Amino acid sequence: MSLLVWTLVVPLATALVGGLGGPRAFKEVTMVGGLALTFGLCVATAGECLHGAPPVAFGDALRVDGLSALVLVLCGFVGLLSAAYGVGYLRRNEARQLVTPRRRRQFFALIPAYVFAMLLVSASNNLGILWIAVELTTLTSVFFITFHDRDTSLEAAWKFLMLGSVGLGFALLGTVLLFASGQGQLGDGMAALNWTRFMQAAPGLHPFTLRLGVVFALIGYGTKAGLAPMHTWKPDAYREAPSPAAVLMAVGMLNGAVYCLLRVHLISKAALGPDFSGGLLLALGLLSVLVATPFILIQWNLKRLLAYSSVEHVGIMAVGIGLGAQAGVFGALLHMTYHSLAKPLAFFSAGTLAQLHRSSDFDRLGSGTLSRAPITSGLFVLSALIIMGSPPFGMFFSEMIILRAGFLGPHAAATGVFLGALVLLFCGFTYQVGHLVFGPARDPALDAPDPEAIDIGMVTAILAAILAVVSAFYLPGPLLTLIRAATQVVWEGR
Amino acid sequence: MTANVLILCAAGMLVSAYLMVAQKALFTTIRLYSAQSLLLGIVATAIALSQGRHELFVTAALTVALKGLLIPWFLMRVVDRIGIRQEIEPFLNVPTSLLVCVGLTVVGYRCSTGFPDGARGVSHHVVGIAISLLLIGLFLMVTRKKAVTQILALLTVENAVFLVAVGVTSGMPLIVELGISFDVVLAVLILGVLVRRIVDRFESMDISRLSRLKG
Amino acid sequence: MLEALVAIAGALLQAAGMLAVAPLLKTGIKKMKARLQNRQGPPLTQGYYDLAKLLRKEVIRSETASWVYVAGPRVYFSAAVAATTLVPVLVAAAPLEASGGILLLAGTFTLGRFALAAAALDTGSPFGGMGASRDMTIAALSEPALMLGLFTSALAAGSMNLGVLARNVLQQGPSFHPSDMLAFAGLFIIVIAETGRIPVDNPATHLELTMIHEAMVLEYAGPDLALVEWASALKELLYITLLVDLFVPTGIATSASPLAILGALAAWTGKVVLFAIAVTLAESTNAKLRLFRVPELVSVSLALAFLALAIRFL
Repeated sequence: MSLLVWTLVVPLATALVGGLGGPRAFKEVTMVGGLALTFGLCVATAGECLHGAPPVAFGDALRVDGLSALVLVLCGFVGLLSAAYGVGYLRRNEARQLVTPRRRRQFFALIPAYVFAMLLVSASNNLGILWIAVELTTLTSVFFITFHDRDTSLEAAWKFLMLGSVGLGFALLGTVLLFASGQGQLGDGMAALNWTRFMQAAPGLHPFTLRLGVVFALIGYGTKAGLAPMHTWKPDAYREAPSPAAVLMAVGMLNGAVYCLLRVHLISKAALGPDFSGGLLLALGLLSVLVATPFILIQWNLKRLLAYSSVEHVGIMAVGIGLGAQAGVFGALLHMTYHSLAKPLAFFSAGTLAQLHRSSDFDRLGSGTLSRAPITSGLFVLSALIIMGSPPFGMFFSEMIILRAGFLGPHAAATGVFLGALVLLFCGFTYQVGHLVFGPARDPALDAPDPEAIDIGMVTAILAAILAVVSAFYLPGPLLTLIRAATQVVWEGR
Repeated sequence: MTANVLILCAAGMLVSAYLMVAQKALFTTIRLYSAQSLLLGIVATAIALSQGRHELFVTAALTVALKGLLIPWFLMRVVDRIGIRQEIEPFLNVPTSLLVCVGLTVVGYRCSTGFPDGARGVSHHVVGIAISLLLIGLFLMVTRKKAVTQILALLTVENAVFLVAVGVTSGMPLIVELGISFDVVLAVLILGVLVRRIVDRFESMDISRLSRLKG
Repeated sequence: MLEALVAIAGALLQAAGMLAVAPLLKTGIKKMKARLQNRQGPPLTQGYYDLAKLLRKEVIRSETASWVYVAGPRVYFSAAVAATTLVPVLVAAAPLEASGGILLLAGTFTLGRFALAAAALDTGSPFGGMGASRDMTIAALSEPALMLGLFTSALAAGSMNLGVLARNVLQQGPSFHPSDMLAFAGLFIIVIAETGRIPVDNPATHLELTMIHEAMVLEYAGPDLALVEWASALKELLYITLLVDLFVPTGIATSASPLAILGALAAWTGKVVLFAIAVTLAESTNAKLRLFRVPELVSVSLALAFLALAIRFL
């Protein structure tokens, strides 16, 4: 079996093993080990792509070109981190008897299953398989959202599944219409839905059908990515899902959804020119950044805060792609990379804080957490600085690249609004985080939080922090090459 | 001949959607959805026969079995166990909803005129009805308060997408169709479980009561 | 002159024939419903016996009622009979079609309905007023729906004359245009509403909360009641014939030869029976709607009819 197929089989096997019973140590080792192996395979597959022809499997249904390789590596990385942190998280929750054995089995089975689905999304060349894989991630996420069995979990799960299904219904309609626009030119059978075939047949696609299909597909996959105005499921879902799963959703699936958007955008660019889908992405991205701003300012929950930050970041990526300049695309992909390196840290530290205080609501967390949980709070402040886009960290540079591309291009006015929104977001985020961490220590009459402990979860968080800081100053050569290769795919469409 | 059967069934699907808009009893709404799916299966079979695409037979059989029989049976069981049989007053009353649906149908028809000639033997009526069905399904989802009705609206949207698929492209590749059907069934199963839990927790299927998460 | 005589003769014949068959249809539906409920049901000639019985009875009228009360059933009956002359039944032409088409037909029905409602108000009894107001509520929605549904075929034929419509559909062959499907669905609901069947109105009830048509005629007895019952049965037959001959006119006679007319009779009987079965099934499988839900059902029919018309243009 080729490397690519192994990359997909390993997480699937890990998921199956995780669903069986067994002693806890065995399952923890299996999950982390399996996902570590998966990450290694992802890197190897990416290497194979960079040094030769893109690996393919199942007759071109799966194909890893530069863009797929980048997303593959990032998703594998996030999967590993999430598994490692998840072990510590679960241990702590089990110590408090918050987890039933059934939920535990689900956890160990579904985290690798989610990773499998994410990797399937990144490796898909076939638009039909892409849709099915995205739907699989949606269905798996529902189990995560209902993990804690609260009232609000049910509400969040319902909204998520309803909105997600509508979005995917739109995406399916978009896929069908894209297929329809190429009737007679795409050939027959399964391969007719291959993205590579679409790119080849691009000049001959029927314009009206293609336009309609692109609009529906972008809106549909945009719902999964969390672009405004289809983002309303995000805050609820991120709040209810346990933090390890929230990381997977916030980073992994975000990357996957952006990948889907990019594939559709490339088809549209090749057939209709860059302005149609680029304009739509630019508008959605700008709207996302604008919508996120007030909600961050008036936020009442820590994990929802991170969700709106995630909406902001996907908006930045969409703007970068939509601007239509090569620098903008590079900036967007660089942003995706830095986001994948830094966001896990934010979720880990925020998740630990929430676990220590037994709630993620601001009124239960109080303020001045620095005095109660110094290490975690420190990590959280660091992560907040990074994801807000402050120098000298990586996201600052990727945002600068996008801003420069925007001001030099035809959309200078929109870029100005974009910059204004980013500044407001920076201020809002600083206010919230500062109040949470540095504010006056709260009334000791409320429940005292658990003390911090250096367990595997904490270790993972610290490792993530080191990686995030280091990456600000030094990106390993191969990773940079990968980003450049991905940019080339997006810019040239091959 | 095929064109006539297609238009007859498509018009029947549209009528069933309108009746769903005016319907209050949950059981009848589920039965209307079942009839809609059966008509969809007939459309797929007719196209399969006229164009010799044998994969469409499988898809048609799947549609009838899963969407026409299995899913309605499952939903009826859910409604039975819960014991709530009636939709409550929707956000828009019935005559206004019907007016809106007429408008949406007109929009859907206008959109359909831009398509190239679809699969041979399928007129633009089928595509127009499919898009209208999609819009009506979305409208139902937004204006209805009961969980089961929202699920049925979602399923109507899926039916509409499938109708567009067979009407404009004479069917997607079989494996993809299988995957999509499987996904839809899974989604409905999960939704059914969620509805049970919601009723257990909140004593009502009224989704507009689930509004604690704001901001 | 000759044509006028022929037309009048044909009109008289058609009216007489429809009048003769109408009670049979009404009893037939009753019997089918009874069979579905596992009962025997009345014998098919029961309708005639009932009419005969009513006609022989003494005339009883309220002392406070005026000529409106007396005129009500008579105008209702006359309107129904007049309407039969406008509708093509066995031949692809209506006897008096030169005098009017869809609008005249709708107007005639309305005239009859208005007369009955006014008479019901005239008696001064609360049931009469209540029944009249309920009937008018339904009429306000069902009449536009009826007209819009018929306009759809009129648009295709380019004329509002019912005979021309029937001939046009015969010529074009069976059409599967969605607007015809939708118009048929809408008109089916209208037939149920206008003839006062479940789920709109229960023809067998006399409970205050559930009566609509029955409430209007509660005060009548003897020959007056016979006229009203006969006219209602005639209206029912007329609606069904209208629907059947406009949408599925196969078998209708295009010439005046006796063979063609016999064949048309057979075809017409078969189609009416099928339609009656459909109506019975619709009645038996649905529960009566609460009064303020009835406008919703009729709105569906109005929406479908409107849509049918709109689709013709799209």
